[in-house]
Amino acid sequence: MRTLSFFFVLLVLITGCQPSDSTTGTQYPSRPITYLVPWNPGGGTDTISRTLAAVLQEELGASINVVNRSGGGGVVGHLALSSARPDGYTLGAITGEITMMHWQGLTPLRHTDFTPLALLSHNPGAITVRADAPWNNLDELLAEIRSNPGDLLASGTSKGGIWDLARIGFLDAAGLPESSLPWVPSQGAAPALQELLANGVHVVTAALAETDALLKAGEVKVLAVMADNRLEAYPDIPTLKEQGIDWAIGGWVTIGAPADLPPEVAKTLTDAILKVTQDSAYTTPLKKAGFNLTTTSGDALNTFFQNEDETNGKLLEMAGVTQ
Amino acid sequence: MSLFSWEGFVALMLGGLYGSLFGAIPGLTATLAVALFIPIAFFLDPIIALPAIIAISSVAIYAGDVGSSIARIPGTPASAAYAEELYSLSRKKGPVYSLGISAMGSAIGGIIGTLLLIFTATGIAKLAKQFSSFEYFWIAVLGLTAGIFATGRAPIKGFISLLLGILFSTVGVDPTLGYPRFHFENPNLLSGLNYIVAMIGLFGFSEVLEHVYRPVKNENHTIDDQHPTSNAYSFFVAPLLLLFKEKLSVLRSSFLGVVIGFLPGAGADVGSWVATSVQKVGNQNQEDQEDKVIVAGTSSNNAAVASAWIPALSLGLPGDTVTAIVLGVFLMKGITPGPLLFEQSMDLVWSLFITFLIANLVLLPLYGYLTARIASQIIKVPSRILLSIIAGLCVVGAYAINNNPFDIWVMVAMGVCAFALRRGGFPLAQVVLGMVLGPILEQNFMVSAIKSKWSLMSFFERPIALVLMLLTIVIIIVGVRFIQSGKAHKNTTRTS
Amino acid sequence: MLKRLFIRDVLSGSLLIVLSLLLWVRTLSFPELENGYPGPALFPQLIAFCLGILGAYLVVRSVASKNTLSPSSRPSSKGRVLRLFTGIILVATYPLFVHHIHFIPIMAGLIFFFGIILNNKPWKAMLTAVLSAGLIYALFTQLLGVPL
Repeated sequence: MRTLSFFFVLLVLITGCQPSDSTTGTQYPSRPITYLVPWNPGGGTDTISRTLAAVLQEELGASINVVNRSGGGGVVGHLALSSARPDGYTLGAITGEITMMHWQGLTPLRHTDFTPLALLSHNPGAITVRADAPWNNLDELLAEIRSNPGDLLASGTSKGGIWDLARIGFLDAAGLPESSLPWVPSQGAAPALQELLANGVHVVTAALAETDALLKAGEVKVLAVMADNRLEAYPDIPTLKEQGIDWAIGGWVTIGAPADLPPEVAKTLTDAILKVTQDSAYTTPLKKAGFNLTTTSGDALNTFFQNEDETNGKLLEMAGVTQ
Repeated sequence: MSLFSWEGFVALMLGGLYGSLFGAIPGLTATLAVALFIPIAFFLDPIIALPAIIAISSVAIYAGDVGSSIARIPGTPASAAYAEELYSLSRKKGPVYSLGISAMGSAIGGIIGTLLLIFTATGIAKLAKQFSSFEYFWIAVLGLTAGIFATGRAPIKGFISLLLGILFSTVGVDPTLGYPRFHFENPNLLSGLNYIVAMIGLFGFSEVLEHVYRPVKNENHTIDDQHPTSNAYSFFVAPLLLLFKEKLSVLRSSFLGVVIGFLPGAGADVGSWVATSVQKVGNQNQEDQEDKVIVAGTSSNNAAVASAWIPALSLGLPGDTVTAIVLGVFLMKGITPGPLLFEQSMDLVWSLFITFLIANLVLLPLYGYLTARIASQIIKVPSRILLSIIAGLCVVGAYAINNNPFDIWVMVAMGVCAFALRRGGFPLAQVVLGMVLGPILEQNFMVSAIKSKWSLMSFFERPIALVLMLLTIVIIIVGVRFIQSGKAHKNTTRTS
Repeated sequence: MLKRLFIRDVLSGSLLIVLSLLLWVRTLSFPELENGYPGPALFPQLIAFCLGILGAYLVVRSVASKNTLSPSSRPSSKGRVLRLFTGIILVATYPLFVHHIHFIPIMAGLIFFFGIILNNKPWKAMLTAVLSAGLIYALFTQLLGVPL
């Protein structure tokens, strides 16, 4: 019996320790690709990623397995992507948090640890209030905040999260101190909207895509959107800039790879992704779901990352959560 | 295309099968099952895709009991509330009978929940709209209080287990400032400990360790197999007779399930815990009430499954991951959830209601019977063989939740912790309850305090919050009297 | 027998008191909310406080009455503790290999060793290991679509 178990151990070692083949010299892609999503299934990033992967695998001719690696407020998934082998067989979603977390001292990871390929979606924040709130436009709301600073409350995500930064930037651009509209932390946009309905908070700064259902149901009204131009899907909602407040911000999703991706692989991927982003199999369902789709790549994308990183650093400083 | 088509039928049957597999294997959950189904769901007609999701989640919640009955490993925090009773009953009377009670209880609870959903959806939606952080805070308090008294006559140790669970839940980024707590510079701990992973360790791996430490020399089966041939009788008829006898308890538990069920993220769990502890504390003189405890827990958690859909359907606000995915499917198909859904897409709403009824009337009994028969075969495998396989499944399950090898270490640590807790005579299920409710308690307490600028009287000012607080006080009074009566009668024969 | 139980509650009570003190010390470095309101430290401190009180209660209770508890455990032997540690270490080392060795052999190895320390005959343990590892792999990756 002892010898038998010895042979078994030997068998395990022999069959198990074969080196995994590194396919060199063949045309990329020649085997399945793993796509890491740093957030939970069912969220916005997950939805965009799964839709993209479904169409992109047809375009590339290699199957793409979408894997959720959530945790650590996005740190775990981003870390897994940045530390994967830069061979094009591990791709992933990179979200706005990558320009925020390192300022908060949560991780040393930065956008320079990745090879960004294309910006897929950019969802601007919005100023949302209850449908029966006494303010019908932005000026009335600002007047209320000015005359009774600190009485109204805002929510949308955690302290120092993207929608908190949206609030701080908005107040700053309107010439108001951060404390005039205090932040109530929440576990995401849905609980914040629940609080808004239950009259627990007065303003929610989350993206239009998240408030869409309540807006159509007539439960809330949106006073302004924090974008450069009015959104295609919501032509009636004015921007902050039209109303004299120079401020735009949004949550975004990028597809990317680990740093030092070989340029020829990056080109193959970028070309395929840009083609897919024009495909109606990709755009139609996502537009219906309220996502604001974009296609930025190359140098413009690098500049975008650089700007986001600097702006968010300043805002987090104002929020008092930097380390 | 309609629900009553060939495709609709196949989708329901496959959904049920998929759900029963995912629920029964430790570490696989209804949420994961639905998430893996998304890519398929996006390409299906919603009238086919949504019924399949309902079938998956309804059957998976029941199948979470299969692990409790075979090896004392509950699949969901809700099923942890009565795992001990289910396991002990399976050992005494066989898994077919105990799972029969569970499946029939789930089915009846699910049907009552669906009927309440059909007739009061708009009313409950109005109620749900009133819920702010104060109300959620009191629901969490209610669930935790129920957890303490569900321990039986030794609530101190239950309370300690609960506190340890809440302590585990404070690991990671804090809800007010985003400050990382107890993460020991490890990014994997920033988002805290996953309670499903913890459950696998607490129940599954610690059971393996227990047997490694104290191996069974002779396999002895103490199952009274009185009706070896009439399995269908002990699965369908005997449990239904019991349910009929306990109709008040079933009604009460289902009602609790529906009312508490729309609490985002933990509705079914709190409902199940409150219902079982009400059952345990209420019937203080009965010695042998394992089956009744199972009835209470199982009927309330399936009633809550239906109720969790109310905020999602009526307000467009997802309560948990499953409903978040469902909302995603809705939006991609161009259907707007919310009050408009009830006006514009009544056919879809009705097909949802009918699917809930079919899932509970047909799928639960069918797949319940199949899984119970398989369980009764598995239980015959010598436990030392079975446990070596369970050791492997614990590893696979812990990994599969987030595809993160780090979770295997969390699972091992929880197993070791549970081994120590068992040595000290502390209950394990309360640790899970603490982990589930801890974040809800803290988040809503802190949010309420920040909102009211730390005037703590505001916790007692809103009407629904007051009702929930009074309910908590009632449970405490009845529970304390229950413990005192136990001491007075020197009735210390049974402690769970 | 009674002595063991007495020790059990005293031991767990004392451990809880130590844990609560460690927790308290650890929370002292947590930041406060603006205006000095308690923040991230509030809940851990409340838990530490309750655990300390309850731990002290357990100690006092078992010192005061030594005859209320009944079950007991057999004395432990070195062999068992060794097996326990083997089991824990087996699973704890799994994550180190998971990305370097194929799933089936490593899982089969794990189940095999657990079979051995659970007192199964080696051939039975091996048969179980190979069959169940293969089955788990097929079930998860092929049928359910869960990557391993």
